Parts: sequence; structure tokens; C-alpha cells
Amino acid sequence: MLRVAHFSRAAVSARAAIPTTRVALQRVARYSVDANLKKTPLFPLHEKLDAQFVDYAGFAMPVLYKGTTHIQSHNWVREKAGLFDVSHMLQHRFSGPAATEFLEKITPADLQALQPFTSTLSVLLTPEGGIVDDLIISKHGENDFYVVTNAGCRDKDLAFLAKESEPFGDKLVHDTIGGGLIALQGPEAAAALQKFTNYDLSQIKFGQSAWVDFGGNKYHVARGGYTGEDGFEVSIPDDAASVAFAEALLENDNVIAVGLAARDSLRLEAGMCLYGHELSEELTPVEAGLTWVVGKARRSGDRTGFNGSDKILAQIKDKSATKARVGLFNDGPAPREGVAILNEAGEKVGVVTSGCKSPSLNKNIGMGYVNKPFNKSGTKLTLDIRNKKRPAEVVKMPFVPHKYFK
Amino acid sequence: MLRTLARSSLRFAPRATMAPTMAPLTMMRLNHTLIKGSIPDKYSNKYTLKFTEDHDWVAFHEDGVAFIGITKYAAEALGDATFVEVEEAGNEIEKDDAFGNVESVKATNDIIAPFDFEVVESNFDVADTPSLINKEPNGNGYLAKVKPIEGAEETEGLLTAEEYDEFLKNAH
Repeated sequence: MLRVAHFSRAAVSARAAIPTTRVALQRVARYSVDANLKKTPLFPLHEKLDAQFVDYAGFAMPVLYKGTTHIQSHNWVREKAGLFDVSHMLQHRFSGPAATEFLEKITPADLQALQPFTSTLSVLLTPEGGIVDDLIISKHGENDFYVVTNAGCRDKDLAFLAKESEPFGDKLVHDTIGGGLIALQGPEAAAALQKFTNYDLSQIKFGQSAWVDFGGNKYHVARGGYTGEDGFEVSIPDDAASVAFAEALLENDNVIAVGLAARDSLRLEAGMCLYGHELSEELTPVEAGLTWVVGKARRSGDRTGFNGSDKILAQIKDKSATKARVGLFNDGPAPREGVAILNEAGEKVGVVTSGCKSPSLNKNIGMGYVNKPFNKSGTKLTLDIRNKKRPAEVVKMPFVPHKYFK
Repeated sequence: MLRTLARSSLRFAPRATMAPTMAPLTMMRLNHTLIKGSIPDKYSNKYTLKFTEDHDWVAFHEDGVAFIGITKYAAEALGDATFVEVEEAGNEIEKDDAFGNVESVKATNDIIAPFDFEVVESNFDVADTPSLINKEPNGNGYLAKVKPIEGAEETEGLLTAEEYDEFLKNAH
């Protein structure tokens, strides 16, 4: 009973990891989903909706649903509301008297300044300052934090957390949390969710969370997401209840189920990083264009002792990072991960990390790393795609403006 | 066609193979013919239609001209086509080389030449309107009009409609 009560206080993240899906047509057709894959609580619903599944981080996840193309589902989220299953992400709770100290050692976040029931994007850092994973940290009280990490980093995150927490002994309590995690994203998301509760959802702003009563059950609701749209993530600890909740939302004509294909193009348009593409242990947050995740109070004084802080704070101070993350526009074929970025002299100055044809803008967008000073907006570069030089230009991100509820 | 170029994106999750699943083929039995009255169909009165394990179709007309496109099965698996690029007229292509690309929002796919040929004309309509690939892959959404290089009319290894159907059934 205690465990269940504890789970019901689950935290919610503000984003989920998405792959750039590959269509390997030679082996595209399968009669059934690989029995070795893990399934989220919403799996039966995906099957009922005739989803096309992919193996994502060991989970059978919906990439598309029957009757809706990638572009249609993408545009639906920008215009109405899409429901995403993000239950494959890993939810944690950190408590105990050393919880803040612990999280401030493995991340550069200023958690003392974070207000209760607000959250922040942060990064787990190796002792060398590399990014182990990106994560959302929600503060629920002094030394009471709810954290969501990426599904794809599950095993290595758990090993990392176990090792880093050793010196803290029983002053730190770390639990992981199961259940359904449902993201509802798009301009109609608030109206759709409001139908199921008397709680005034306009009281929850972007980056905030609350326990919201849905017909007698209180679920954790966080306002935010991974699409750039207004939206929510609802954590429902009971598997059957999470299916019923999703089904009820889908009865609304403005809400459709949306899979990983659109989730990736939506996050890319919003200029957001995906671990394994834009982020890795080879990069510090400064190099990844995420200097803002290093809290002001963590840059000088007596709270600078986070993992890799010597290197990271030096990079901030002397601007010694040699490359930067940029957005790109180009014509012709879309930029893809691994495509070389050249300067006008034809020398390689960077590499693409993500790219697609943007359904919202109807033009190609890409993200990548380039050497300074080629990161300045307006810089003309070329992409080497299939041995042809394709003109590209450095542009500011997000590609599609965020529409958060603030 | 359809060798996927997008590199494995799951560096952090090596067990993930990302093979999409599709509906059982019995539910998507396809009619392996060209659309009546479409450009590759009406080019001449008589042609032989063949298929490849890369999900291309080839219509060999009796004057030595052939049309190449991707199958309905491939078009469905591809999803919304967003960009099509085909080698220019006059270029000679060797068997197993890519002679074009079809992109969806999420992926880039090479189109593989099933034999040696010279491009007579690439289909500008499909380059201008990639969605034609989804609507009429076996018609006006063809990719190129080609001339098999002498000695390369060899169509050994190409499949009949029945063989292609069988291949789809056994490919998984």
C-alpha cells in the first residue's frame, strides 16, 4: 500500500526521447511485434488503433497510427491536439536529507532557487563534464524531487546514479516509478483536458505542475512538452486507468493519437535536442548550446562543485568552446544525421545531427555542430549530400515559434 | 529501391533495430499492374512488367525503352514523399548503383538500378510534386524513362508479378 501511495505521487517530465525513424524496407513487413520488446501500459490501445510499431530503446512504441500520415499527424498537433504515449521514459523520485546536495553534484542546476512545483531542464554530467543524459527535474519540496530521464539511457543512467549516490549512503533515497505517462500537446490540449476536471488548469503555467483531481483520482499534471506547443504530461500510476484516461481524451474530436514519427519532427521544429543526436558524453552543456542549464548560483561561490565544473565553468568564462550548435535551412534534399557541413572554401567545418523536411514550414531544417565563427546567423555554408554541394544557411532556432502558456 | 541512408540514430540504444511493422500482407494484397492510361502504360501497346527485390518495377517496351518506378508496397512503406531526385538524362548508371533518391520527412532512400542503363528522361513531374509517388507510384509517379545498355537487357533476377508477390510474402 505504501508503495502504491508513493507511486501515485509520480513526477512528470516535459519531454520524451524520439528516434529519427528509419524505414528499412527490405525487412519492413512483420506479422507481429517482437515478443522480447517491453510494452507500455498503453500498448493495448496502440494495437486497437492499428499502430505501426518500432523498437525504440527496447520498447514496442507506436510510430504512426493507421489512417494518419506523418505529415497529417504533425500538422494536427500544431493546429489541434495530439496524444502521445511517453510511458517508456523513466520516472524517479529523489528524497532524503542529501537529495538536493546529490542532484547539485550530478547536475549544474540551481535547485535551491527552484520554487516548489516548478521544473527545469538539466543534464546529468560525467566527472569530465560530458552529458550522460538530459532530464527534467521537478521540485516538490525541500529534498523532494521528481525526475524524468530518457528511455534510451535507462540502463546507463541507473548505473550512473547508483555509482554517484554511493558516498551519500542512506541520506539519499532513490526510487523509480512505473505507470502510464500521457502527453497531450497542441493549442486544443488545455480545453480537452479541462473537460475532465474542475481544477482551473489556467492556474498551471508553463514549467509548473500540480496534483489535479480527475473524478476522485489525483494525478500529477505538468505543463510543458517536447513540441513547442502548449500542453501537459499526466502521470497515471494505474495501468488500466491510464488506458481509460487516454481513451476518454481520444473521444474528443480535436484529439488524435500521435506516434514517434511526428514527435521527432515536432521537437526538431521547436529546436530541441535529442539525446544520442545533439547530446552525448563527448559534449559539455556549453558546447551543446545549453549554457543556460548552468544556474547563476552554480558559476561562482561555494556551490560550484558539480561534476565537470572546472571544465564547464572555464568554457563559460573564457568562451573557449570551439564549436556551437546551430540551426540550418537548405533547399533540395533534407539534411540528415552525419551529413558534412562545409564552408564556402569547401572545408569541413561541422556535421549535421538531425534534419528533416519541416511539415510546418514546408522547407528543410537541420541541426548540427559547426566550428566557430561559422555559427553566426546568416552564415552561408554548404551541405555535402550524396556528393553534391547543397547551399545552406545558419538560422536562429526555434524554427517554429514556441507557444507556451505563460 | 529503398536502401535506407539515414544512419542508425540510436547510438544510445544499441539493441534498437527500428524495423517498422506493417499490417499482414494478406490485408494489403496489391494489384501489380500499371495504371491504365498513365505515361509508362500508354507509351506503347505492349510491354513486359517486371519487379525487383528492391521494390522497383520496370516496364520494358518493345522499342527498347523502359520505365522504372517504385512499387505500391514501397510507396506505402515510405509514407509521405517530400523530395525526389533522379539522375539527369544522358547519365549512364551501373547495376546496383543508386540512380535517385526518394525522401520522406523522416528518411532518405536510395533507388537502386536493377541493370545497366542510360537515363533517357527523368520524371520532372514527380520531382516537382513528390506526392505523386504516393498517389500513383505505378503510373505517372514513375521515376525515369531509361534505355538498358546493350547487353544489359539481361533481366535475369527480375521477378514476375507472381514472383514478387511471393517474395513479399516470404520476406519476413
